[in-house]
Amino acid sequence: MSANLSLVPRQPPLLDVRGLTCSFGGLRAVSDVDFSAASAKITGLIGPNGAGKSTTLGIVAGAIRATSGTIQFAGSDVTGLPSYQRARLGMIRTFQMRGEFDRLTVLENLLVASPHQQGEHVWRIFSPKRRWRDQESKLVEQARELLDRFGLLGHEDRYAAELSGGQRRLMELARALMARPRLLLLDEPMAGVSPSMRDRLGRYLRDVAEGGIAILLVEHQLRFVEQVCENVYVLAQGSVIGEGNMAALREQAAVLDAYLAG
Amino acid sequence: MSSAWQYYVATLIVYSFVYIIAAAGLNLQFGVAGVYNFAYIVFQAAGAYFTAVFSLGRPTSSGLQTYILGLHLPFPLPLLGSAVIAGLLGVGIGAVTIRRLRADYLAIAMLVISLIATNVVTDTTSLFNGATGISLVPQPFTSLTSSATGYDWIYAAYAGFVCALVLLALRVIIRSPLGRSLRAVRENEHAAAALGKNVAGLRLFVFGVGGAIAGVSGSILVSFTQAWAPSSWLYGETFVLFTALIVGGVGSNLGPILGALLVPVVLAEGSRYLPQFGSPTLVPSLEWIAIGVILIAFLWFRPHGVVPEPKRRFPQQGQRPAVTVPELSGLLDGSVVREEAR
Repeated sequence: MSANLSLVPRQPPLLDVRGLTCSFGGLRAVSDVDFSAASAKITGLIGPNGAGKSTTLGIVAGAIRATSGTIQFAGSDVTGLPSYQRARLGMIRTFQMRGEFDRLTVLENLLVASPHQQGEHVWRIFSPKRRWRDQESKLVEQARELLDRFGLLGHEDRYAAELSGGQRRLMELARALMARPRLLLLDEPMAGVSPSMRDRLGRYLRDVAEGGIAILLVEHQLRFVEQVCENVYVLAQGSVIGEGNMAALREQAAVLDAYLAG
Repeated sequence: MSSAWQYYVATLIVYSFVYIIAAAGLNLQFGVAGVYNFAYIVFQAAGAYFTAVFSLGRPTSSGLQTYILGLHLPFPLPLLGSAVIAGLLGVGIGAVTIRRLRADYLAIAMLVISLIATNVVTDTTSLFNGATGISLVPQPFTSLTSSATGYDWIYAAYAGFVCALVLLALRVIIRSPLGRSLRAVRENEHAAAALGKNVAGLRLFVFGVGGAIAGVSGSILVSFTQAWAPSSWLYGETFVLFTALIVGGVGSNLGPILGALLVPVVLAEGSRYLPQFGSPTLVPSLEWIAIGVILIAFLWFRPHGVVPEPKRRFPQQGQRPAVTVPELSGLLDGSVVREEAR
């Protein structure tokens, strides 16, 4: 599709995806998809079931290999990188379900995510200087601040498996922030979240974006998408069929057709 | 104590340390990092074999037994050398299997590697002396004492010393952020990768370190028994260690110690005191059945073992770090076990 000129920012966007295609055998799950996500903005990917939203997010995160197309992140081509290397560049994803480390405490779940930990190097943990311990206590404080911000401070010593669905979402978001992301890739952040928690989570996401982080989210609940997303891409049968804000998209016949037909 | 009893007790102690070291290495792989290495015993056998060929000297011209290298290295080089070789073997096998296989397929591949290894060793007489194996492995400390029982006690102390070193090193790893990342990989490899953890690299690390520790346990055993044969390292032995770990407690520091003492030592040694009944092979067979039943019972009723993995709590500012074992607190008259992490 041709980009609307008024939407093209002067700087290249943080994430720029061109011609993304992914086939599983004969099935084309994602077909020549273009989209971008900018810093300090929340971008939505919506579409009926089976439209290829989660596959697209998985490809961007590096969990699924693209058949063709390019993924540019912060000016460099990350198309061939494995997921952990993308994460180290600041592309942090969350999962549609089961993204926690069940038998790690909530606090440990956050600590794991912190990048550049000295205590992860075997020669450092056996060195008598133990400099990693100072870093560790700073990280614990950081993690507690994040837990406080997400209303989870009282839960730090519980195993992640003991949390409710909504608490898990909050913890996963806090954990993603602990990883110092530049781009958050959120796969259905509202799945299994109670309505009261939904508003809270929406506010948190806006806060995070205002802090300068780009957010790309896949979501089913259109009301939520309308509340938080500046720009939305509509996928149907693996292709982008519309782009813009939710109010404008609601008027487009192709988008309505896709949802009604899907 | 008569010298026969002394010999018996010292032997039992050496075997206990060997099993504890082996179970602790497996705990790093399976308990902490969640890697199913069903070929674990191969690394113990490799450590034992290389200790033998590093200390035996040249094969005699009579052709009594054939093996490679035939070096005569002074203590502790055979121990260190075989640890390095078993570790490298772990990294080598891991590099081939880990990257492409999911955890359950890795388990199958490792089991097959264990079976292949037994056949290769048994059929390759020129390298491993075939099914007969290697005997007359020199003892490292004979110059220290002339009394046989005295020697056994010295050896037991040596085994205990190495065991303590291994456990201390593992404790440092398990409690560090590195250990935390390994546990994260165990819990959810996809989420760990999504947070920047090099999952294959971390698994390769435990393959190497766990392999080296298995090699150390094999080295201590072979210098004591002075004999090595492929029939002592069949794949079933790996499951004895898995059972020990699951009974003792997966992921904790105490678990492998307790499990090694309960399953291979008490259970296997205990059956020696049973009165003879049925055919002579009945009791050893029942031992295997008992190990299988215990494994299933624990997986069913107490999957985290007698000593579960401790929950790590971080001190509030100004407090010292502490580790508590919540599920044990009831056993110890309600008091919480508190270990200083420093």
